[in-house]
Amino acid sequence: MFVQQLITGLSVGSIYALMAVGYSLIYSLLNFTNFAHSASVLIGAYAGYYYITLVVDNPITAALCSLVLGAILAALIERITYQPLLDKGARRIYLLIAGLGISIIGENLIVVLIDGRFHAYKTALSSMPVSIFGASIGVIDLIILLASAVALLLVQFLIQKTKVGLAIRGAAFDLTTASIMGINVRRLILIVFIIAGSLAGLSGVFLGIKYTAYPTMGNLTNKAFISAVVGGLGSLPGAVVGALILGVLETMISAYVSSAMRNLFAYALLIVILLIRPWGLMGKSMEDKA
Amino acid sequence: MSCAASLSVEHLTKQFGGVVALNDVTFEVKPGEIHGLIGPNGAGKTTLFNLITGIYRPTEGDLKLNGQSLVGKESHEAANMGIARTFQNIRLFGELSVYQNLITACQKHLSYSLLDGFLRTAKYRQQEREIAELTERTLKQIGLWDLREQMAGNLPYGQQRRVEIARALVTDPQLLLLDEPAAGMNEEETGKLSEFIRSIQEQYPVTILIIDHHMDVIMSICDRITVFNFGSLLAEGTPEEIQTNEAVIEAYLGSE
Amino acid sequence: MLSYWTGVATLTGIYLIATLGVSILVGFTGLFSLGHAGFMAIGAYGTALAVKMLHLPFYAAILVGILASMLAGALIGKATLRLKGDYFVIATLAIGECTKLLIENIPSITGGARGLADIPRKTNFFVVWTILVIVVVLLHRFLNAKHGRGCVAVREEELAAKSIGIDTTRTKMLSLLISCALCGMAGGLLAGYMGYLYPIMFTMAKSNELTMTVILGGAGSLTGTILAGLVLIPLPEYLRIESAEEWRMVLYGVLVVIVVVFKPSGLMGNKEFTVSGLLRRLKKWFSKEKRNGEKGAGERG
Repeated sequence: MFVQQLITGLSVGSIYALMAVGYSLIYSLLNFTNFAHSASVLIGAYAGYYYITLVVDNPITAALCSLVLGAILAALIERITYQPLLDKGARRIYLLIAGLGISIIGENLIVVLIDGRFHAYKTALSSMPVSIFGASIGVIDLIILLASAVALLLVQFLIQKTKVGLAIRGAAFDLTTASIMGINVRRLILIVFIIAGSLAGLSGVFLGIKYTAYPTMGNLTNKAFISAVVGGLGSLPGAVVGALILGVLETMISAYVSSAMRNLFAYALLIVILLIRPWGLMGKSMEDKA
Repeated sequence: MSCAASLSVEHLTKQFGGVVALNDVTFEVKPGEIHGLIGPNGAGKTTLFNLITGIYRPTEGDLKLNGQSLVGKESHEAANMGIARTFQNIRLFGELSVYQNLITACQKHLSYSLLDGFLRTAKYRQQEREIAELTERTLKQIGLWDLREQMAGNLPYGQQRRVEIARALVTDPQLLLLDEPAAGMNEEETGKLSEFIRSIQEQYPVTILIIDHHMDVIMSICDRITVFNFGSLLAEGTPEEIQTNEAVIEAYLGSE
Repeated sequence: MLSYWTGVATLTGIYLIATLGVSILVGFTGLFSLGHAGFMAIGAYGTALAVKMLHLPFYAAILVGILASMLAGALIGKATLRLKGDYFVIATLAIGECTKLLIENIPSITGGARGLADIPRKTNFFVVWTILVIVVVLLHRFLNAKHGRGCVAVREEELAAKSIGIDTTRTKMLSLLISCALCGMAGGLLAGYMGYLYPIMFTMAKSNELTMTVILGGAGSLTGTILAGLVLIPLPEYLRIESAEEWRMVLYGVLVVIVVVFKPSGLMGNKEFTVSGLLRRLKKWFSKEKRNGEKGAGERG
């Protein structure tokens, strides 16, 4: 029972991590919360649903399709909305507002163009159990966990070992200096949005398989914000750790206390962290950052 | 009206992580003088301003305004003690008019409460009248009165600098910190600026500490000059002394 | 029919009070909020419970609601306003969702998702609009005094605000408390007008709507907020088509993005609408027309 919950929790946490890493990546570079992140999650979830329903019941190609669509959408949003604002040197609050506007458009367009109902993925995988250590574990949880780990390791490799990654790390440290040093900052920002968007699209498909696809599922990105703060805002490893902790704790709460308490617990955890340790588990204390 | 303040910098050190931005700096600024700070980029001049105005905390050492320590004071507390400043990259209230920029800066002269503001009591009306007069007087003295309705962010660069200095002046400072006021100006403009800074010192009882790379400005207006190099004090003296100081010449010739 | 439109006007007035609260925080102080429906909920349920359980008279109960809302605001403000970064925004999100979930999960007190009914109906059109007018006058005075100017300075350039002696953390807190008080009051009035409350009245979508009305009206203009509120809040009442609510939100979203990208100052910018200002504009416009006319006539001649 416990092992089963732990695996489920880790699988939920790894989906949160996909969203949280993308969110933190953008945050660490541009210092603002990308509320439009939810649009990529949504398109990922619905693309996956239609792919599996209408094309073929193959979660791997479905996930790839969602990943690409999530990335394209994020790139479009960046080019159409954020880029002009960043070029103008607009205040941060306008970036937040624009993102909020986009997330609202996304959510309501789905209702208007498709419908407001829940769409369960018609895949054979979602109810298939497998027995490990005597515990019955959903195959889908294992797949999600594995696929997320692979995706996150790829991002880790990209950031730590490639030239682009080096530029991203440099720009996250100091955007102005990076642009002075001849790094094409506009292109870099686009790349970061594409990475974040593909992770979000992937998370969308996993959320869809696990919980169904529905118009307000973009609000699940709130869990990514919580994970990021718990782990330390702007820190990528922090985002992963925060997401896994949140996923496991949430699952345990809904298994052993009450499933109604699940979300309440998540938000309460956020408030507690903000009160006692706002820089999070892995973040540094924020003094002297003038 | 307040009077010009003295500033003493005592064994001041500031480190960021392992990087030493200022290293054991000691010097004195006398009341009423115009004191120049020069040195190559990264020598720690703006860091010193940020330490004086409470944006950074010193790692070691002390800063005293009229003998009173500034260490541990928040930015707004330093401002209320009589320190005003301008910024290297101008920081005006861009979407407000020139007049609003100045009237907003009169916070210090307003002691009425929130309730006084809601009820528009006699106290509110009197203090508001006073700051309106102060703002008008300052704008006229600095020659910005005709621009008072203009949005500050839309003004040409040179005018923005003047507005920023005017905004600092309405706070009735004892110590005024000017961070590269002549940056980006041509020769004619810097000439005007030098005159302008001199006129401030004649009209207001204030000590001025100025950072700039324009040697003509610094040499023509400063009473004393302190030279920084790599976070340390290199030399100190009158403009004549600095111009003939061998260490300074070597540092400047060596670096360029 | 008349009573129907009085009802619409009363609700518009109530939501306008909340929108003005958000305007002080978002429009004038430049702090973004995603959870102000939560503060409305705290005010609404605080008022309703104070009436039903403590048997307080309605207007004393509203005070309880306002104070409860301010207390919640103070809590997250204390934790996050001194921090750099988006902590405050995320905290408002948390308080908004937390409030709704708490209400849903303690049905013994709040009635849960099934709602809280039988609240004495003590407000009406006149009360709401009288309060609204007083609020507008007080906010106008606030913005033309020391503390209000401090808020605008924080929005415009925080470091400069500090350099002229403004305690920015305190100023932000003040702005937050005012906005919480107004949202709390709007919540209390809503409880006293409707006679019943449901948690779904206070969703994140409602919070977003409050913020977007402010942005569309012009961040930094009271009259802009009021005009936008008067047009946008009763909008669903004119538009009675299928999925009007969703189309309205799509429209809001698109408008907000367009406004932010092309005209960040919104409908009114930071200008206030005044009669003399309008006359001046008209005069300018007419003289231009006349000149164009003359020019056109001259060319023809």
